[in-house]
Amino acid sequence: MKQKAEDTGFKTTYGQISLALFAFVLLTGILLAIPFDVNKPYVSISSLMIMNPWASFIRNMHYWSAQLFLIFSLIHMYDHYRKQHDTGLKPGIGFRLSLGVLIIFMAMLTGFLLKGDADSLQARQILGSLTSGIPLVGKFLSASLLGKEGDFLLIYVNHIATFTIFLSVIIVEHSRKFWPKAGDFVLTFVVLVILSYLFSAPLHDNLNPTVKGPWYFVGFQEILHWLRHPEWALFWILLLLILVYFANSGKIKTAFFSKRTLLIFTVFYVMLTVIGLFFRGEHWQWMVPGQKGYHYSLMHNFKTERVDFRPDFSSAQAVEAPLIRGKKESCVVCHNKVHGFTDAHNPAVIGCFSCHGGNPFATDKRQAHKNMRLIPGNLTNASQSCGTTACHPNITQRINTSLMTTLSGMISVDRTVFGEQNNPDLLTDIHYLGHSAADEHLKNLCVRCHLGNPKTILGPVNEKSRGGGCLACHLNYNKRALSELQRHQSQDTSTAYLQFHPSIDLHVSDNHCFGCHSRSGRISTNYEGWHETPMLANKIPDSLGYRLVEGTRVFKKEPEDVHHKLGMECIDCHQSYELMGNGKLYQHEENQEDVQCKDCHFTGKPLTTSANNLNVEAATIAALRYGKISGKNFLMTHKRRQALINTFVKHDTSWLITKTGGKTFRLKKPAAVCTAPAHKNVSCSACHSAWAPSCIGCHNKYDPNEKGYNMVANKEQKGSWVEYTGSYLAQPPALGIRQEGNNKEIIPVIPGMILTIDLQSYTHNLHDSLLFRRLFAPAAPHTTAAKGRTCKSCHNNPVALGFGKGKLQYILHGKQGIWHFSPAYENNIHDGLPEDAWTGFLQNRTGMVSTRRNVKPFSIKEQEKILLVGACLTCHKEKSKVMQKSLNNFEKVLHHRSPECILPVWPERKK
Amino acid sequence: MTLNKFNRRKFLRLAATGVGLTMVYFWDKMMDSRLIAAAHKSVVLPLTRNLVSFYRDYLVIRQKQHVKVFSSHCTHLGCIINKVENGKLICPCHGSEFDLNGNAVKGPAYKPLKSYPFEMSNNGQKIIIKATES
Repeated sequence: MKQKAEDTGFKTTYGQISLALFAFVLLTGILLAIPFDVNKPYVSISSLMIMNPWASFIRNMHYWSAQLFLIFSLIHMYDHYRKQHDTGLKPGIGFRLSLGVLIIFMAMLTGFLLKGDADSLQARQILGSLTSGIPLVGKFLSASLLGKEGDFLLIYVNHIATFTIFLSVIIVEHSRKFWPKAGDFVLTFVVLVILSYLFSAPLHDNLNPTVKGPWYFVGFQEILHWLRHPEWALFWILLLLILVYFANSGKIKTAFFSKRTLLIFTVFYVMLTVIGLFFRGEHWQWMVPGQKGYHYSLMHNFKTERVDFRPDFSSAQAVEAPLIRGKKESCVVCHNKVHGFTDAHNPAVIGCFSCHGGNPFATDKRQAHKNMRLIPGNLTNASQSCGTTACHPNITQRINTSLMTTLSGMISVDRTVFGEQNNPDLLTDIHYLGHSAADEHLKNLCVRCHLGNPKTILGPVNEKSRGGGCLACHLNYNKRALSELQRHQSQDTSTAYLQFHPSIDLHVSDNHCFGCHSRSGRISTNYEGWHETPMLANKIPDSLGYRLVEGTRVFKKEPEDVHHKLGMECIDCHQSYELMGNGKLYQHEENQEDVQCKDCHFTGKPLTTSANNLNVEAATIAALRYGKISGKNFLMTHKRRQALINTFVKHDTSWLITKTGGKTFRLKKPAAVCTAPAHKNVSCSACHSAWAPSCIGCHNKYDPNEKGYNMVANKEQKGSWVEYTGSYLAQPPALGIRQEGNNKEIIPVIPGMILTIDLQSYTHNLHDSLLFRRLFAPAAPHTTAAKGRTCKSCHNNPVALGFGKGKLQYILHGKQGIWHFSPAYENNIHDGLPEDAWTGFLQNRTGMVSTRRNVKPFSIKEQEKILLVGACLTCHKEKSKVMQKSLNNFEKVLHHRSPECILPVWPERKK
Repeated sequence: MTLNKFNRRKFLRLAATGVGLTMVYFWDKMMDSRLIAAAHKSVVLPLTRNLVSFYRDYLVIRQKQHVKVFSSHCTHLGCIINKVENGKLICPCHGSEFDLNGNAVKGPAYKPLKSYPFEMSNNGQKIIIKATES
């Protein structure tokens, strides 16, 4: 294609500009060969970007001159086709020019491969695979093009010699020029300098899971994505080259047809390129702007900052910085003396970028910190920080199934109580709350405590903390880190806190759990022996027996859990698959919980597993906590067969070592009374829970003028549900029945919801009446006492039986005994039962009775059975021979009873 | 003379083509050793407790005591599979998915991952994938 003879001065053609651009490709390529190391391409490019802004600038020039060369060459072709002159080239030149188009793409693709980053490594596989697919000579061509797997030398040679020489020859042959015109040379230089200064050539950070080819390839990648047999794509490439050939050298009609087809293809390809660039994310999934994760998944390709010729650090400092995961990372050049990490999270190993994001190749603070995560580990970004492929991807996936993330039970129960669903056991999720009365109630009063609630303020996890993703449990400040942070927060200029990083580690203390678990069932406070009172903070007695939580809540001392007294923490019982989920969704905490008392306190043979059988997560954690684990035998949970890595079995004795303190305990067997047949259906916690908090008589009303809070959006709002609470009590819990199939178990329960809800106040619907609920909830009080409850505290106790407080008496009338109960509380107007009762004395209760479908109060028959033993206990002491005997066979004891024994007479039941 | 000229040109063209083909032959010969070197070699990999261990060319899947070795290259275009999510191996390039038996469960790939026979080392801690003729 000859150049126009009249072109002089600044009047130029696209071909001329292409020639000038090609000259810059060659010049900058030669210069770039100086810092580029073909043996370590990714290291050398990331290094030059950080250590030498001029080298970075030249790389950008090389990149931009090549991209523009491709664009201008194609426009040059189009220009000639459009003007319909210069066609009818000699077949030889026409053939070489057509081949030249392919060679331009090959030269650019090999340049792309020479980055050696995640994009390039996958592109290399695709290119190798496609080339190998060429019939007969495929493998031969592929090996000639790419060389040995993992080696870049042959690609480099092809890039700088094979394709470059071929292109040079073709260009000179068809343009009959060696040198670009001075005007073009200067003009392109100016444009390239501006582009190269403003926009850096891309380099993948090797952490983001989205991989894409170069921009001119993504349209092709989109086509490949649709092809089950990608080899067919080769025919398309061949067809395109033939069309280019006929457009160049074909007869008029053939040339016209070829040009039109090429034009249509180009329009089509531009559309596919736009799709590939802006609508395809990780795994080539369809994504649209605004979608969650769109920016992270798609826009990282466009993270091209301008060149900073005055970096915030010297080249010498950059040279000294360590290599991190196969690349230089500029973060650690500035943040080079940061202390406080565990070995696994040492920035010399994982850098800062792995957790905090930002731009790892930037050379000034503003660029480096752009889009960074000051507080990583929140569940919205956990998969991009803690959960990247090389770190903890499994955990950040399964954490989303944890009940602490979904709050399924809390939501389902609340909706059921409000009458919005008829089953409290449906699976629900915090992310799908709507605007119903129940959902608004949840948002105002309940759902602040979920792991997805983001941590937004620097500082340690404390009793006011809610949520925080991974950090909710794994963040720990040492004294220095905390004091430096506090100094920074009080005086902005102090930057020493940047040197003392909090640790992310396995020391999950009770304090981490406390913020959320000191509410509702109040497991954390119960465990430590504190019971919440309605007392005001300014009325707190000056005594050791009281404690202030969150500055407003007053707690009174009650007996602590025996395990707490021994120095055990929450994580000594609860293992990671219970807490962080095991990949399955569960409705309620008792469903998700795996560990049971009998896993440690058992009779007979222990259920064990060896160190060899531990999964990688359990084995790694066990080794980190206890060192060498080989040859050890661990106890396993009975429910899901998970290893309890802080236990071991030696010489038929089972032991537990606390995870943080390292205290060792021999695990005790349950007492004889526990395993006696009479109590085979009684759960351990029914007897061993010393007390449980209970609250009765609560009223809920929506106040449109109340200053409220939306706990999902974390925003203040006008209008809120308000809770007017009754009195708090700390007493041995009531008991009830949990029925699973034919299995019945007696469990502790607490008055979960004895309340009224003024539904109309929210809905303004006159048909909505005042809702009254009397629901008890299964409880895990965490107030374990070594000694179980006395016999009488169950068999002769109206609270335990579910009647509520009052006087339960066994009254003898001659030879007849009658149980009599007089309640302490008045009967509620809504259902006629005493305020604190779960069920009526010697009455059945059906319908919605608890916060689960499988938990019920004792039936009349069951009450009679318990009270029958209670009648015996009115005369016989608990430890008497006859009562001890009755534990093994009550019927037999009853059969041989003394004539003096007076059994109760039951009122006639209505049929 | 014309005939001579024609013969000479024809001869030179033929000779030049011959030289070109000879160079291609040399090219072919040069590639011999490289192709052999690139052929599959015997490889030793550590056997970890991970459900899936990712290596550049291999995936080792361990489900309790059952171990399988697959090629890590997606059967669609050879991309290196580096992620397992919800029990599915996912190709980063075009989103093909494979189950833990190597079967393609989501396209564009449709062929199963190539399975490699292997041996366990005596102490059960290593996997030896022997060279195969390819």
